[in-house]
Amino acid sequence: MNYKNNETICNYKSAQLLDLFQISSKDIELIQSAGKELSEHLDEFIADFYVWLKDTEEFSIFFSDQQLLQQVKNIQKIYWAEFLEAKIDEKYVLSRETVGLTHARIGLSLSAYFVAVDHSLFIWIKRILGSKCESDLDAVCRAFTKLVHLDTMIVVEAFSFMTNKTISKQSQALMEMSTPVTEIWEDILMLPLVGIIDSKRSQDIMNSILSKISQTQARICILDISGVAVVDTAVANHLIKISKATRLMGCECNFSGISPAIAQTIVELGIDVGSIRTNSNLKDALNHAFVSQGVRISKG
Amino acid sequence: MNHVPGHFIDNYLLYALPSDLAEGAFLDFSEFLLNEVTKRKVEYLILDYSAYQIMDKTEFLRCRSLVNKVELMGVKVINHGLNAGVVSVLVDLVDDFGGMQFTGSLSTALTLVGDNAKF
Repeated sequence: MNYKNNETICNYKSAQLLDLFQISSKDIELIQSAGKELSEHLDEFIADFYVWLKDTEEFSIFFSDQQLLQQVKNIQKIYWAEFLEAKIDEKYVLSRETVGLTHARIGLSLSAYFVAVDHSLFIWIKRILGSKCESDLDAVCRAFTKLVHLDTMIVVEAFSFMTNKTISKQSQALMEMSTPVTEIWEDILMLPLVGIIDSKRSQDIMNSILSKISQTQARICILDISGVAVVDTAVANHLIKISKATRLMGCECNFSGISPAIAQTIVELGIDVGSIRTNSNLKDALNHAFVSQGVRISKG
Repeated sequence: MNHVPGHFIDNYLLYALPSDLAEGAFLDFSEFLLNEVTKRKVEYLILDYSAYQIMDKTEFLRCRSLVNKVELMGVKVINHGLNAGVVSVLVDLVDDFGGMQFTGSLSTALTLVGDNAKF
């Protein structure tokens, strides 16, 4: 799915959408001809809709501000005017997508949207049936229903696009927060690990450490695991793998924060950590890193 | 087969390992490298892996076997230039990287060569 200036989010072009919903030129003509009469009563339609909406939970949440409410009413009037005009092109699709994106942005749920669409359709059908329209009323109602569903599909596609985008942004942020590799000194990286380490997280940790090593050419990397909830065979294997990987990049990996409980678990599980350098606390690990890099820290 | 010449400076030889060599060509390259090491009487061989955008277990093992052969001749081998993507895959494929010296950059490798290297 792409969303650039003139590209639509849903994978369909307007012509494909018309095909998908089997909206023929006859249907378009029916909507346009009924639309001529119905568009004169758009204000009444909007009024009817908001009478109904006033009793819903969403009204108090999203439309309590009078100024905002007026703006939404105006936008809705334009929306339905476009609908009654039934000129289905890319511009039309884009305008429907904007509705979906806006709903996703403000957090208006799809269920609330579906209920509102259903009620709008109900109002329109009531009006069509009560109109002086000379066409086959069943056919007009069917054409209206098809176009409303086409609109709904575009809105849902855009809504999902926005939601997925938000989720992937959040996942990225979460990943970055869970692997905060920092260059604390020249050639020395540090990563405090907190929480649970599973395969996915260990892969993320490895990727971020390796890219940071390649970026900074660091020689030592300290992984402080004092905040790791559980260290079992799987976690230890993940850590060993990370250590091997950093070594291949020419960076020595040093694990700090090995508590007595963790040390006991590792030994009891028979995990071979021979190739890994460990320290009980961060202070010792830092000290080792500074010494091996020839850095001397002295008090003023 | 013609081989890209390495950089021979005093006591070390710097060579870029060519990627995507067929088995025969790699053996030929190994033989050539071993001859170079003997001919030039080097103490260090710096192998550059940066040409590798992808490396599987077989490829790594044959590189390691080359390193072992060179080390058997009393030459210390320093490996450098593995990129993060290759490393990330390699740790899943290979269990033991023991006995091989890796550095993150050429400058670190040259530092390891130490005082004997004259720039």
